[in-house]
Amino acid sequence: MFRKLFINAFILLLAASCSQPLHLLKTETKNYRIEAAPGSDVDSMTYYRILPYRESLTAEMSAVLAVSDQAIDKGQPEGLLGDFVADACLSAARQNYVPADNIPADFVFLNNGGLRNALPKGNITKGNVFELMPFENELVVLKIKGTLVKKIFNFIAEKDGAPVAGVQFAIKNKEAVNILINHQPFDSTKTYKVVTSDYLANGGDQLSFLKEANERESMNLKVRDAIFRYLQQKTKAGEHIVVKKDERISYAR
Amino acid sequence: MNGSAMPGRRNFLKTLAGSAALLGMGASPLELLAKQDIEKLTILHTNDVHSRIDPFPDNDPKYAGLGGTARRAALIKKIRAEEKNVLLLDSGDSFQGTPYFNMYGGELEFKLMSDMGYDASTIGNHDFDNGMDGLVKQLPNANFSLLCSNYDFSDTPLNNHTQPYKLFEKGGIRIGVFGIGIELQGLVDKKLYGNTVYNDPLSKARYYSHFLKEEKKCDLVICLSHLGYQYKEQKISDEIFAGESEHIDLILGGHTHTFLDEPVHFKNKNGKEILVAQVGWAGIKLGRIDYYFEKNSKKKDAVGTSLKISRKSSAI
Repeated sequence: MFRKLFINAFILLLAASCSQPLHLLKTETKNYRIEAAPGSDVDSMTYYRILPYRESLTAEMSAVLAVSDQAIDKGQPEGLLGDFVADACLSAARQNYVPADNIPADFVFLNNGGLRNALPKGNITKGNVFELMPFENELVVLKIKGTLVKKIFNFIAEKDGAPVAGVQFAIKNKEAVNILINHQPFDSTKTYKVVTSDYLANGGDQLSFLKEANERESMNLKVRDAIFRYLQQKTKAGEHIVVKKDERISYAR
Repeated sequence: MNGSAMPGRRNFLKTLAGSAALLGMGASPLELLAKQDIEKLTILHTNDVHSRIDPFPDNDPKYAGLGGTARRAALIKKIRAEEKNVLLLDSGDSFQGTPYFNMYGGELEFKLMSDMGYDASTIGNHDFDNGMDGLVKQLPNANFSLLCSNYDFSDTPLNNHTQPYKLFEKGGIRIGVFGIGIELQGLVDKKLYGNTVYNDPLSKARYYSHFLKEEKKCDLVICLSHLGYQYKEQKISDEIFAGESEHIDLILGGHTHTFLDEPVHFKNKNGKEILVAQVGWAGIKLGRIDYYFEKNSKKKDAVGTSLKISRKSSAI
């Protein structure tokens, strides 16, 4: 008889649990760090799933392109990585950009969000450059009015810096001041040529105003390929990669 | 690790027999069941793995030796061996960041996630990096669901390949999971996302979380978000989302690569607790949240029900 009662109670409870939310007693949380440590196992099935991919990838990506004297990482308002990539793009523009109007490019402007990994001290491999610049973005040259150029500099100031080359300025109260372009004081009535990525030129990173550019020319060169060339040229010249901050962006005192 | 976990329904008969023996001693069987019938749900989560199949190399300036899918897979297997009810989720941007993506287009990323038994993922902005066709091409390698409730893919190749939400049932616990994506304009090149229509995340989240909690009677509502944890400017983020929500219990976030030491407690619109979690990026960490539910706690359920009515009216 008791058993029957239990079964009825059980059915009732089941019915209740279907329509009413369960009561939450407590939560416990934990974050695991994934690292090579004692007790941290490697799953064999996963390892062998990856292996054939890794082997053909390593064959392709382990080529050493250059040797760096220092680790190259991001920084604000100026960072070694931003300086390095922007310099590589400026160098590419000096060598590869054939302007229709015979006026060379003035400066380079990129975004920190587009630099995806640091470069190590020592050997820099093709794979390192892919990780730094995994995107297929291409370099473009925009011809823009001085008023828009000022917007770019204020955008950079607002973000506490961005990768630039060919310019020098200071940040004061989130605004760009004392701007030099090609060592000349910035003139808002002039038209300038800025080298950037097609991603930013298309309005990426909330830069919709860049779409107002007067003219746009493609360099038919990926940002990543510009970095490859820069590294290979240094190596060919027998040089290591040496990057030093040159105060191209600073905070105004 | 699971010493405090109590037996679920599968041990119910044993409990029943024990209760019958105790009945003579005055303990009510209902009370006894309520005390003993605890079900534990383990949520495991990652975000922004960005094609980090292998650990960072030893010469990496920041993360040398960290991460690696084979180690994450081993850890997940170990946890699955210990726990009955596991849900494994990702908050987007599985793609882009190492040559694995440049060479294989995301094939290995999705195959490994399938191997590890991911239940669902939302779509991050970088998952569009090979365009809509590039993502569609990899879908046969994914045996988990892609969830996003605020991207309308009707006029794109992704049409009918994603779902706004998914229901799971683990050990009698009903879990509703839905996805929320970040605004693509100004972030992703238009040529990559094509005719995807971005809808307001808050209104979609309000609808789906209410639907999952009230209509589908979920015990737990999880939002897989790729909005980002917080911003200096007034831009919609998980932080703002948490305060504006009413029916979400947990936001598993991404995009900003934020390493939260542990999930952050927020109060939702009704002053009720909501958790926001994010575990950085690159598969350096695996997040875990264990929920202990009391089954058949009739008295407390009644309280929950009355609260629900007042919440409903305040929502209108």
